[in-house]
Amino acid sequence: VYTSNQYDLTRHFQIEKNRSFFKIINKVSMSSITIEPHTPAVFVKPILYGNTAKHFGTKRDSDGHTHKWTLYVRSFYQEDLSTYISRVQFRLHETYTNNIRVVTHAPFEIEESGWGEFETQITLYFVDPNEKPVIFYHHLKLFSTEPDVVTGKEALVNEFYDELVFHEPSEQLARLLICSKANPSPVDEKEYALQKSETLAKIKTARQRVKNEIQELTERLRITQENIKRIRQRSVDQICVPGTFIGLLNEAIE
Amino acid sequence: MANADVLDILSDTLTSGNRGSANKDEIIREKKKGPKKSIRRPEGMKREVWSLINQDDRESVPIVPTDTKSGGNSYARWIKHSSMTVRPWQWTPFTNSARGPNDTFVLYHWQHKLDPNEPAPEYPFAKFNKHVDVPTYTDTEYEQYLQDKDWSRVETDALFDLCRQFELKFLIIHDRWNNILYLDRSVEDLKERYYTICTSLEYARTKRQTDKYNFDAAHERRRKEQLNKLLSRTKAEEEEELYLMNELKRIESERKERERIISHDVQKFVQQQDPHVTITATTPTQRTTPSSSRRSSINQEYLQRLNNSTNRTPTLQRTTTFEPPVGIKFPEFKRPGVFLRSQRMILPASIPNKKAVVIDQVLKQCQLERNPMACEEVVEEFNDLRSDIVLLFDLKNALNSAEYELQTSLHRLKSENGPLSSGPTSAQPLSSGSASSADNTKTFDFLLTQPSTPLDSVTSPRLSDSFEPSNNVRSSTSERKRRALSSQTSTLKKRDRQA
Repeated sequence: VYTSNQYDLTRHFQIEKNRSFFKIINKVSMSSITIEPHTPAVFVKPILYGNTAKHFGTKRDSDGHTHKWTLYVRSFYQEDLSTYISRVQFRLHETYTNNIRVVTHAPFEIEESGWGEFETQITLYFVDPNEKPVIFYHHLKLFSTEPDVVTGKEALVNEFYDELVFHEPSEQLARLLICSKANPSPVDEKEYALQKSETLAKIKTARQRVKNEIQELTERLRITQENIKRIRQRSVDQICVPGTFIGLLNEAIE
Repeated sequence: MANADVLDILSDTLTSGNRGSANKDEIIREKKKGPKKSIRRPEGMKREVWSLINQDDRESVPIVPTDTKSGGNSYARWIKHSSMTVRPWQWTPFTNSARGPNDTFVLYHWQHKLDPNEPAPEYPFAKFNKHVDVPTYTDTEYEQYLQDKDWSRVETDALFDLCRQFELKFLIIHDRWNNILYLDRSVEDLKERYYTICTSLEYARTKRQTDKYNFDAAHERRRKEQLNKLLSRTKAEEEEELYLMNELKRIESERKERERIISHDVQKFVQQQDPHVTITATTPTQRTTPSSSRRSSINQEYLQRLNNSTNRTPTLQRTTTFEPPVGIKFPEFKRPGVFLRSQRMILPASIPNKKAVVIDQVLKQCQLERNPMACEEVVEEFNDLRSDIVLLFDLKNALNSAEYELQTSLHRLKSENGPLSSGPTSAQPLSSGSASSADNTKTFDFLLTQPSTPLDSVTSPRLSDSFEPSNNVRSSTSERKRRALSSQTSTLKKRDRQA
């Protein structure tokens, strides 16, 4: 049983959207409630982060750059992230001037050009100064084998879905989390929903396979152990000549 | 040796002026250069020896203060002036009473001059001439108690004479034993005869059983034979023995290792799955259950099953403590704060590299990527999947060890069957064929057969088969042996089913 006005609001909020997300929230709350006495507030904000990259077509002579790329963090529901994120710090490769770029307003993205791939570090700082920043990494992808991308007609999109989980945020932050608007883009939603269901199905089948094999192996193991025991028993019974080396050895083993 | 210590102690009081050389130039030079470096004592050389040899420029300070009042050899002078005198010695003849009363052999030695009144003292070493009391028997006693089928009266008498002569030194007696006149006797034979006679005589005379003359001739013979064999081992035999001992040690340690692996992994899962299964291997000491607060919602069902199993099975060999049933423990977020969902999916560093590789392998087989999209359900299921994979891997290892163990036990059983059954069957060569074969097949009847794997073409390539059999217990050569052995199991089982 959970009673929290804020919580009800969030739930109501999510019901309008995908039903599966509603289940997620429910599950989180149910599970956390069975363990702890009071109801912790948990807010989930799904985000998308990644980069797009487009080939110039030619290699720029001045610095050898071949691609134009954009590294970004945005909300899944096309919310305004700046309601609860104060700034985003992108850490690029050392060879870039000012390789630590900070973006303090939406859209939280960096547009740059380059010639090579590298790992970037993204840090999200929240409006509430008490919350620790969240750090994660993203490998900037430029190259692809798809013909369209190679020629430079299409841009390469390397995007990841993730969720920000807020455990018991402060009142202020909680209010901000609820208030931000949300309009999911239909394209995104459909794509990721599909990906999610696919992934889930695959995982489930894999789990089933593994479970079956575990069952099988445990049974075999049990039988083997039983056999070992029986053999030992049998050999002990047979060795009745005292003083022989083998007999002593068996006794020592037992 | 003590010089350095004493110098240290006196270094406060000793100034440069007190030291030996009061040469101005030397002192100045010393101050400029600093103290000369001292050579280190070579290793292995004793401290005292080194202090004798070592020429250090620092003055040696002796411990014992010398008496410098009187120059010269003062000890000799002190002795000279003392009133002590030397007792007079005399070159006296003496006899040794131990040589016998009729002895007239006279020797001379230095002795303190004695008063002529007092009698000559006994030769001090005569008292060491001890003799052994060899019992004597009368004819009647011999006829009554001491008759023996192997020993004639004459022989017995000769033996006792020798014993008396040589003070029961049986090696000499045996050497002196006249084996032309009498039968050839070994040392044990002679001893045996002597001691049996002694015990019989003792009993006859005192009517009391005594343990004084306990002599086990058979044991002695065996012991000497074994020692002789030991002494006469060739170099090759000795090496072979050493090699066998080492092999035995290695095999035993491997076996213990395997048992440990098996029991460790089995407890993880078998208990949980089927609470009525008795654990056949010895249960090692188990860790305590982590408190429920550590468990996340995902593992709640495992915990519940555990609790149920403990309630249902109060006895069995299990203690009330369990090992954590899940393979991997993923980072948990219960503290207030913001987290990214994918952080929950990170594999903890505690997973050894081998297992991580295995996980990747299996994921690839199931066409899953290493880090799928991070929503709640996916994360949960994914983590569970990976835990299960690790569990599967452990189980596979345990199964391999167990199968190897089974093979070795079977072989041992067969080898024991072989020499044992050859004895009784050799007497009856005609029926031996049928008997031994029946015996052989009979031995395997008591074994359980493995469940036959259903032919499911859908999941035909088993995930666990792709695991590298990695058991750090064995080396590569024995791995080949093991694979050869495991291939034999199938043929063995087929034979059983046919028999």
